[in-house]
Amino acid sequence: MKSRTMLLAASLAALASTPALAGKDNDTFVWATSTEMDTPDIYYGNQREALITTYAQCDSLVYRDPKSNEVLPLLATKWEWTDDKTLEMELREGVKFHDGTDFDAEDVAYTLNHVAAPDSDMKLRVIVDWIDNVEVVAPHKIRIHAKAPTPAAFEYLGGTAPIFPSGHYDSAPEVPGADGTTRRDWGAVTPVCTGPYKLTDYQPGQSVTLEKNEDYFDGSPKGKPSIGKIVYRTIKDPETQIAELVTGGIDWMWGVPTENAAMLGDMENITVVSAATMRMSFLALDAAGRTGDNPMTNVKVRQAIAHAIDRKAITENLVGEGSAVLKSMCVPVQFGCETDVTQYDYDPEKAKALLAEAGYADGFKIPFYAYRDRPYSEAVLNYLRAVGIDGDLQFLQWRALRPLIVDDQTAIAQLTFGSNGMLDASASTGYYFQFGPDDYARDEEVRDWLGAAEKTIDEAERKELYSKALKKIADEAYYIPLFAYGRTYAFNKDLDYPVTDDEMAHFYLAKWK
Amino acid sequence: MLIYLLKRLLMTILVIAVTSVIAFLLVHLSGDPAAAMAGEGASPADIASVRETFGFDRPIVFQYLEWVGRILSGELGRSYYLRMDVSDILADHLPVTATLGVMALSFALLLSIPLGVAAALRPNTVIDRVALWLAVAGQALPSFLFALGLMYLFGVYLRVLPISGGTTWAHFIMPSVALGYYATPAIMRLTRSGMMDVLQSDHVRTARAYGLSSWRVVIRHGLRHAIVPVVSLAAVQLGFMLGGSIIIESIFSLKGIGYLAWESIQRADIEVIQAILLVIATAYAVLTLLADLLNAALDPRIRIS
Amino acid sequence: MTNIEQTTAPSVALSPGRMTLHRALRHVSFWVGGTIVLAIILAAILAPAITSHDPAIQDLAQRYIPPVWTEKGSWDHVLGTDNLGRDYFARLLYGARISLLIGFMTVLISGAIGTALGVCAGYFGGWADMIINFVITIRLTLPVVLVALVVVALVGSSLTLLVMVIGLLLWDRFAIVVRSATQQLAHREYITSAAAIGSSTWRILFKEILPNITGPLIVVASIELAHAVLLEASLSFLGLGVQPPQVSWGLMVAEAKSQLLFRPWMIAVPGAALVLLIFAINLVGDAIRDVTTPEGKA
Repeated sequence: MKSRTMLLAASLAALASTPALAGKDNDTFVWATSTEMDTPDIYYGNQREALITTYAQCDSLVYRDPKSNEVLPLLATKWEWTDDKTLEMELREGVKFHDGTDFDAEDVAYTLNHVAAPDSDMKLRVIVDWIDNVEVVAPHKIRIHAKAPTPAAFEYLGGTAPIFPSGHYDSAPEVPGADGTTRRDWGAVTPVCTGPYKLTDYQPGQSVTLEKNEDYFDGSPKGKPSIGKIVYRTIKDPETQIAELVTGGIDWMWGVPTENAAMLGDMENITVVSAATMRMSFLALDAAGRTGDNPMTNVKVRQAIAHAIDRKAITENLVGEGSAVLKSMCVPVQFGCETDVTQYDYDPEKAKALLAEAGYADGFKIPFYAYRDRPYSEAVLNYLRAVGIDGDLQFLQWRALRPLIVDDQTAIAQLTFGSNGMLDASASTGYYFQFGPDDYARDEEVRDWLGAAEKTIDEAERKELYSKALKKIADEAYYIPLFAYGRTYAFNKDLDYPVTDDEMAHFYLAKWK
Repeated sequence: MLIYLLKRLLMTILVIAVTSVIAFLLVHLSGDPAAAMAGEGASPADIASVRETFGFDRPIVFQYLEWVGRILSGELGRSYYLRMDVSDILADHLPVTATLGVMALSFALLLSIPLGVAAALRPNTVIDRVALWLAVAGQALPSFLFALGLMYLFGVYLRVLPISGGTTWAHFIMPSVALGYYATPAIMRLTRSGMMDVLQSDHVRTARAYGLSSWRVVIRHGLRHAIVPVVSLAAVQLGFMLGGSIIIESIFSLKGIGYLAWESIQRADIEVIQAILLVIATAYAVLTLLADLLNAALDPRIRIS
Repeated sequence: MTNIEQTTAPSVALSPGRMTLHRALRHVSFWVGGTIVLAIILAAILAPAITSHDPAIQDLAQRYIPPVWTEKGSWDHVLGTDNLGRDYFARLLYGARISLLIGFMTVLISGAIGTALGVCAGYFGGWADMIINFVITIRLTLPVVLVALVVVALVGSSLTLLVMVIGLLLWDRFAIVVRSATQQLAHREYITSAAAIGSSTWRILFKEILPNITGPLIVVASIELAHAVLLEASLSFLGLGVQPPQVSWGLMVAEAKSQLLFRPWMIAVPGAALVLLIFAINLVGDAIRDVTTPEGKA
């Protein structure tokens, strides 16, 4: 009996909700990824899916044009550094939030002061940590006071810092914290913004629905929205995504395996495009001897490893379209990324010779840690095995690997870093070479150069400092840069949308053909 | 009977209690949950703040007792990731898995009972052999292979069934078949042996001797008795399906308990994993209890031993 | 996946072991299944003699070569190559080693645990029985796939861990079956008389009980062997099984998953091998069940 009731309930539910149909005919654009979205609020989410949604739904103070990488006015129309640490900005007038309230300086100050507060629980503190406070000067004028000279400020004020109406977080629920206390779950508040699309439905872990904002202000560098409805769905298996794309169930996916790109592109209803990304893959070697005495402390061994790996073959054959050999420990689009550094060509004989010089003529065995894209790690391991370095692959989830890294356990690890989308060399160098827990080089000279660069406003001087640091990193082969990931996108042929090199999807720019 | 019932009830509660300890230890004793929750690219300060916010720096016994205390007061906790109360998340996901489980079980029963009866009526004939081979072959096919095959055939090639999601009943057809067929061999075998026992029993022979028609005997007297152990097996199988639907739900992107479990494991959403382990264990324990009680009611000998 | 198809124990073989074997040999399923299993074991052992390719050697210029029966195939790589240009036939042969190894090792572990618990519960009864029953119930209450996933995901996968986890999870059926088989035996006259003439408990357990429950033990072992191979495949499918450079059939299916629409043979080959192996193991198990159970009942 019970089963019959349940079935009946299920079929009734089925009648009530018809699935969103994808495609041009319904003016509904459906995109899917494997990752469940934790929150559409980018301050508390730090996911690409949330960032994609944020760009469509929200506006920030400035906008970086994804094609030219130029910083353009968005909610701020004019700005000026009045001194080393003070940024004065004039705001756009006549802009309305999706809930109908007017946008003004109070909103900017509220939003940025909220997330910059030390106890805001914000996910990526680097975005707001430089802000001391934001002051309202006039109804449409603000002053941002930085804690120190911050040359990268506009990196942070772009798409990753959307502006919400003042009082936005007042509705955050109280949830139990540690020791019987309670805390506010700020990220549980669904964002309200001023952007080209309105968020009309959000099902945690399942879907996000955006609808065109007919009243979007003129003169935005984002332009007026064209497609009526943008729906996000989580589909776990990439195979299932492909099956849905082929049969018209979804309109867009990314992360198509290189080997399938050509065959998928041959299908009449699908466009396949590859583009570069900012995610870099590299080997972190324990030059500092954090794991104890190990072969990596010898510069010859590190150089041998660099010579042993055919980065070009891995990049071209395996990682495929859109990827590129990584020359330095940063991606070339980043400010200050010096790529004219020592390069180690693929030369297994030289690698063996260097190993012999270092006293490892018969090679050695060592645990090799990795957490992402196993085939790539396998390929690297096979190259190392060919010169006598027998890596024992420990393929872990990030959360299992991360504590090992912090606890001085990893002599060799293949890691990746996406710079959190920051177009500044400080992103990766700050993380890996300034004596943080992830720094296995621990070079004081490099640290001091990088520290100075972060506080220098003068661009030429900064460049010079980064150049010095990156050159030494390469000479010493502290870390071995391997490749920058590419991404292959596959989408409905009726869709006209610019594929960009920032591992983002700017759907608000999309149109039906 | 009352004593037996109380004994079984006590046992069930004990089982659930011990399971809760195991579930708690499993998720707490490996890896650093704070690092996982802070995510990739998080700084040590970010991780430390997560650790403090969620209280992972306290002794494990203390954390366990606090958790149990909350569970007993009806609070299942909160997902740090989905930013919802676990009870709300379960309310979203349980009906999906329940629908899937019931549909899968119905499919299994519809397929296996007729096959089992047919095999029992004609033992050691071609029908019997074919049924047996079908069962053995069915058991050999991993459910993920079967699921992928179904998706390719009906979803992509023939395009008659929706591929992913769970918005209409048609979405449940492929997952139910993929999940349900695995239970068929067991049910078929039990039906077959149960039927054979009953058909050889005195009162069926008597019924036949009295000239009752063969089908009436089979249905009224045979199946009715043979079905009893099948019902309890089916209850147990339903419990297993709740725990075993991870792969199927993940392939067909059905947002049920299995899918939620797998997602939560990957993002170390501890409160959710604990709650799911507890819910599945409780569901299994309760289903077994019901099956046992049913058996006891029908077979007095069990109560005594 | 998690599945107990027969919680009821097959009745104990009344006939001595040799008689059982004799009857088994006349059973068709036994021959068919046995031959296949044996062939797969031989192929696994003789892998280096059958193929000259090393399953771990990659050649990034030779990726995704199709198998010999397609237009672009060649006899050089009979079953083509995989995503890293490794010979697929060699991987299939060497993959059998790991799949079988995991199967047999876990059955050894789970068999030892289950038999020990089952015999104790069945022979001693009383409190021992109650406690062991409780432990069995606890084990049954924990969903196998979920627990295995949690452990492997959090601790990190290795062959040893995989064998341990699967072995520690799949002993329940051994325990249940052995327990009831022992219970039936414990009250037999020759056991009680052995105890009466002062045979040590250990002697009774090893000399009288164990040899007489081999029939049901083999049946359960065959079921659990198939179960373990399937479980490893399932874990590998979710990316948490065997780790390279080792290769198992489950891992091969998992790695080929993305090729479902484009190169279906890459799934079909290891998939078919997996199905064949489990099918054959089940056939053997069924045949033994058949001959050790009186009246031809399942």
